[in-house]
Amino acid sequence: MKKKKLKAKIIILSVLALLLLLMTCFAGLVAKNDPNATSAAAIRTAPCADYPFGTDNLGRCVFSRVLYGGRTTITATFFLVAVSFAAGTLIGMICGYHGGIIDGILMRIADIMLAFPQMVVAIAVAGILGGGMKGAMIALGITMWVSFARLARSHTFSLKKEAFIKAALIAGKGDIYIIIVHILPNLLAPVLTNALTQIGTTMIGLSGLSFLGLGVVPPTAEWGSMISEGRAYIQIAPWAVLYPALATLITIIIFNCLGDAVMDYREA
Amino acid sequence: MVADKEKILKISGLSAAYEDANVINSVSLDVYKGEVLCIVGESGSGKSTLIKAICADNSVSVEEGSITYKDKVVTDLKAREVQKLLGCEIGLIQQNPWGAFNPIRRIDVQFKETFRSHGKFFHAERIKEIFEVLGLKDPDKILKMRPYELSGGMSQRIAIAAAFVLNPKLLLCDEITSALDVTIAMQVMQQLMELKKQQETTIIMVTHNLGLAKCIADRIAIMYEGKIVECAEASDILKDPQDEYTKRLISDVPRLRAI
Repeated sequence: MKKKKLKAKIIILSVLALLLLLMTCFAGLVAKNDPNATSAAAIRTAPCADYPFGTDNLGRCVFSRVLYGGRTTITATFFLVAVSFAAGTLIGMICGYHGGIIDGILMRIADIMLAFPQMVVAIAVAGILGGGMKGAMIALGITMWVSFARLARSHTFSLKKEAFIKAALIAGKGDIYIIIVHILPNLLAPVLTNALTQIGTTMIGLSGLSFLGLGVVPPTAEWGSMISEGRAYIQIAPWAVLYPALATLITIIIFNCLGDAVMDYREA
Repeated sequence: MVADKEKILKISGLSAAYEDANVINSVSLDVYKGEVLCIVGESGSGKSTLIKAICADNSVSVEEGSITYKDKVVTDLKAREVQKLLGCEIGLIQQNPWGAFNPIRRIDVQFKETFRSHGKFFHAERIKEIFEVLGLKDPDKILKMRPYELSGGMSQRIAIAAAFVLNPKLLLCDEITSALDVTIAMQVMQQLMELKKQQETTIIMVTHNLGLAKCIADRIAIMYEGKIVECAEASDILKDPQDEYTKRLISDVPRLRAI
């Protein structure tokens, strides 16, 4: 019964997430205005028929910019989560499977990464690398793989003791074969769930770095940088901050709820 | 009855240990072809360690003595040669019915791997034959299932089938029914005996259940603190135990008395 409810919840949230992704993917079809076109005649226009979310300080359409900005944020987030997931899982499986000195070295590096608050490391690294989305992604990725690696490692540890892995070893199967065929599929579910819950955090991280001016380079639209720009004239044109903030909020809530629901479903 | 039979396994003066703790102390034991030998003892008596030593598990190190299978000294063989022996010649069934298979791979894929990794061709008919003896109905459906969908009894039966498809001459069973409930355990045991008769397998069965040993064993060896304290024909050992520990063990078995 509980499982059924959770399943319905997951389906609804997935549809919402999909809708969001489609909206940003096909931003060109939904938004009529060019997100980067400035218009001196329509500076800080309140939301109206032409500009559903109003315009910003340079007369750019906020609606278009939110949609195109979503494209930047969501693509970067998914890419970053996917790369951290792949790298972290691989490192975790190698550590868990081999143990010994490789495990020791890699896990101590992971511990060092965990010793600092994630955002502090990210700001420092992004600052060194200079602005740009690439720098921001590297800055976040440097600490993100750790959670995947630890999860994959602990699951590999317990799987390694199972009789079927021992049997495969006795039958003369190679380490790579065992890792790919036997271990990876068995730990995919928990690690993928973790990836889903990481989407929200990553989005906050990327938007946060952009907000601080360490993310995208203007004039590229990105939610964090839009909030940062609009902040200066929030009393005159609150919509320039409100809509990107709302978009960030909704997206993060949807992905976080989805991640939690999937996790609950797996445990139920 | 036993004297004129051919020895299949000979353990002489075996002492084995985990990293630091000595678990088995100078155990000597002969196993004859076609018999069922039960090794009975309490937890920690070294029964499972003995089984591990026979299949050259690398967590157990042999300190002294030797194990000879037919004419090969297992304790002297290289890892690769032991590999050849295991599966086709010496089979192993373990206690935990869920650990034996990768929980999310289809059973038929795992059986294919079992055949292939021991240099044999996939033989669906043989699997079905064995499934039938084990009372597994609708083999085609079962082969398409994944282990996490199966009950403990079914998983254990399939693990038994996986051991038998390679037709091993000697089968090591380590507490194979202790995770199952009593009725299912009895059923599985009977089916195992049926298979044994068909395939003429020799079985070494480790158990802590003396009642079970009584039902199936030709000979019983009693193990206590890493030593074999007594080893004799099943009926002799139960009627006329020689060792103090054996006497205590037998008197400790709970009895269901008819009123």
